[in-house]
Amino acid sequence: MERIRFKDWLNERLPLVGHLESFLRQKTVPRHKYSFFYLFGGLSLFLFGIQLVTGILLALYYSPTPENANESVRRIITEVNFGWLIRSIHVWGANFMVVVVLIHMFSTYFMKAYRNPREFMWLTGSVILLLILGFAFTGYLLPWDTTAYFATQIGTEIPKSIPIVGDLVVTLLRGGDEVGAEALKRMYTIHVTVLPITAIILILFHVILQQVLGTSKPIGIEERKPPFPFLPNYVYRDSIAWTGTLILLLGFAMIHPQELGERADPFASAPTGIRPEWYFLPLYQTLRIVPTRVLSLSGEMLVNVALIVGLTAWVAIPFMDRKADREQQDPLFQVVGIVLLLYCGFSIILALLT
Amino acid sequence: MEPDKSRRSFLTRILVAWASITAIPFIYGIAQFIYPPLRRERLAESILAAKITDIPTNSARIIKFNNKPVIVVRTAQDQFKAFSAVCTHLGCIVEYKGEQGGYFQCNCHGSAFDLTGKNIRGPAPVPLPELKVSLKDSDIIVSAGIS
Repeated sequence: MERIRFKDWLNERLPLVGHLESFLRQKTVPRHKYSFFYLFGGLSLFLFGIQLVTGILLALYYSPTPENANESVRRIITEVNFGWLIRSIHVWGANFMVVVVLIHMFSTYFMKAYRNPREFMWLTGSVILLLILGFAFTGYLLPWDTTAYFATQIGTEIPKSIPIVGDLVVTLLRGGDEVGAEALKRMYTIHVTVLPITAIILILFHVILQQVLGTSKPIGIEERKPPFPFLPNYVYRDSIAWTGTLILLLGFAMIHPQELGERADPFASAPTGIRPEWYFLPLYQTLRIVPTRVLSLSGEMLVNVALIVGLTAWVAIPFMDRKADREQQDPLFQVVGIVLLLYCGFSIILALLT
Repeated sequence: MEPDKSRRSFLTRILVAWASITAIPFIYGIAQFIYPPLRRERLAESILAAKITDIPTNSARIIKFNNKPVIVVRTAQDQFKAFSAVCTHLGCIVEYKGEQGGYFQCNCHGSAFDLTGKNIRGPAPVPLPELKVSLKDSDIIVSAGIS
């Protein structure tokens, strides 16, 4: 009897697999002095997978009510097998993910990979970054400890000063006018359903676009060596980066397991040292240095408006940088990127020191 | 345009319009659903905050009044006062600093309020709203409205 190889058997029934394999075998990745930064896109995907798996595991034991939330997290880290590790990986994973995604975004920005025809990759990538910050913000309240409670109280109060829609945004986020049981349920629902579903769809779109359009090469960079074949050469490089990151993540999670504070009491004074996570510190520090009133306008409102305008401009960069489409460098955009990086860096340091 | 193509294009437009019109009531319903209903709770006029002996001189206690935190303070001069405990900046709960001269501090962003509720330091834009305090025998009664 003739032996049929499993691969052929599968190809007959699922021709897509064969097409995908031959596509990936033909795919190449440019090789130049900045090729290292290409690894961060794949790393973001890898960390997203880790967050998804650990998040599903945590949801098995977590209970989203003010009475039980803190206790259920305590139970996860003290009673459930490997619970402390899973939770620690999830919390550290969130931090790793923000770092990796920010490196991915800034390297895309400085290598001008957003230029024609990759505008939609930049757009989807920008929205994915906002979703990741949304994951971090909504997930922060879930342990329902004092720090989480007051950080969320502040975080959900900030949009109040947005003209016209501010109050509506705050009410929708909190499910009422205060951070309580309704807010916790909403944050949990957004964290485990709305954000993951939206993120998965957008990430799929982003990755498919990357496969179709290929990897962008920076303007004016000469490739002295032939490009990397994607399969298997580049996948090997990806695998090394993923394994290294996994080891680092496990190291952080085991050496500095995430602690859990006391159950939040909405009727107790806020303790000293309430600060948001490091990635929200540039916004936090900006709110601290902007005066309460600027030319008879609310300082908070000005910061909110500036943030919305700034984010819109950032998302629209591929449509503003017309020189990049002609394979030319525009120093203005390089300066904007460097100033933004320096501002974020300094404001984080300042917020931590003061 | 060929008759067949124009008919197909017309049908496609009808289909898009049909889908859009069907989606509108669903979107409207979802938007209405996620907007939380207003709680129609009867607000209390006043509350027994504590016994006089519960709050030592130059200290404060946070109580729940109509589901909102209220800070009741007994000053160094033995006066009783009550204010909303919610910082007018970004909503953290303030703390009474008796040892440092008697004022309220918000530990989130460093706003401070004096014993009249006035914002004296930090980013808080307006004073803490004051509530009425009255003493009845050994009880401290807090009620809505400024004393």
